[in-house]
Amino acid sequence: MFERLSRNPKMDTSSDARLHQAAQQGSEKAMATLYRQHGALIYRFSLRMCQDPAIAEEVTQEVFMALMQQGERFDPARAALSTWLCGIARRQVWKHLEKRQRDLPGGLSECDDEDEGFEAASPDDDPATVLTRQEAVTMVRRGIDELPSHLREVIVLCEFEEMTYEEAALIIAVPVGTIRSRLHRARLRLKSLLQCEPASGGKEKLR
Amino acid sequence: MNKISKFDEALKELRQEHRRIAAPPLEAKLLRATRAVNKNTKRTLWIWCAASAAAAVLLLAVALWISHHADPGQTNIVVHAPTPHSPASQENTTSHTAQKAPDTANQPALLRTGERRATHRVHPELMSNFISLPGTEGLPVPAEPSIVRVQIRKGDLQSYGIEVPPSVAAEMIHADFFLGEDGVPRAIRLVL
Repeated sequence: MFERLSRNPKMDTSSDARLHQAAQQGSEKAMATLYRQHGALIYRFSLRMCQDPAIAEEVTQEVFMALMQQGERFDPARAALSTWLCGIARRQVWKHLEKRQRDLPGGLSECDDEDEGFEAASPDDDPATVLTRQEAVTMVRRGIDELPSHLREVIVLCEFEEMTYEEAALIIAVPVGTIRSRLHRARLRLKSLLQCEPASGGKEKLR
Repeated sequence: MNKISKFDEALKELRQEHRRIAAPPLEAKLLRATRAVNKNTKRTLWIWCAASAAAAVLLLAVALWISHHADPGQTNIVVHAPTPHSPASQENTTSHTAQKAPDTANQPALLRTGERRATHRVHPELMSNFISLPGTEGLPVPAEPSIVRVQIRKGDLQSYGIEVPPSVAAEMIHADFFLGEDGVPRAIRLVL
């Protein structure tokens, strides 16, 4: 476990709140500024989750349309605008994932927050082949793409977007403890990939 | 370098790679959508304003119709009349107007012009004095005057220089018109 310093979004929230208010009153400039500030975050998150640029773009557009049409639901006292937008994006992403998974055999992998009995990577293990840095990056990238959705979203929000546990908890609507637990399990799974030899092709398939 | 630090290194690089992903060019689409929403909002606002204005006009029309058809009641009305005493009876008026020489100083009050009008309240039980009608200053003194009693709307008295409260404008009242032989009314007297 590691300590995650809490980001202080106060500097951003006041300007976000002003921009949001202006956008609600119909300011095109404010809406454009909000998109420039938060559009990339929403798109990145959606892309990592859906792994489809077209769907990610669609989700991004839906999120900002929701901001335009239902922006009065945003309460700056409860969360930052980026958090609120990510919450909408997550719901849209899951709708797409569920729709896609319905068409595939096996269905969407169920969210299982119980201990899976996964062994942590031990520093004493001695891999047969020393992975190069690029190989490690490739394996971890692939590993993230193959993670179950409920673990992948935590990695994306906490590791890639560097959000705090509290922000991630608000977005995913779970307790902070659940976020910590999922993040830990996701990291364990990804670390275990580095035990495999890429040349042998025997990489472990993540469930 | 051990696996854990390799993992952290890999994660760090992936984080940088992730943060380099740019947003798609949706700004133009969003601005078009914003304009469409603004347009709809303005249109809705205009419709509401128009509907409110129409409702207000309708209410006003109904109120005016009701006041026009309301039952007349006993109310004081304000009458502008010349300050000097004026003839109170039909005989006096008729006999006076038979005079040929229109001497301004001796003319009855109803024919005097240019005098400051005083405002006094007429008791509803009394008959008002004759009041000169506006625009009759240059008319000759009638030799054979007549008095015609009519029933008119109180609101119409304003055209004869008599102020009437709007609340009773729709009520009817009897009035005696002092006419010359030419048929032109010179004065009016209210029968309250």
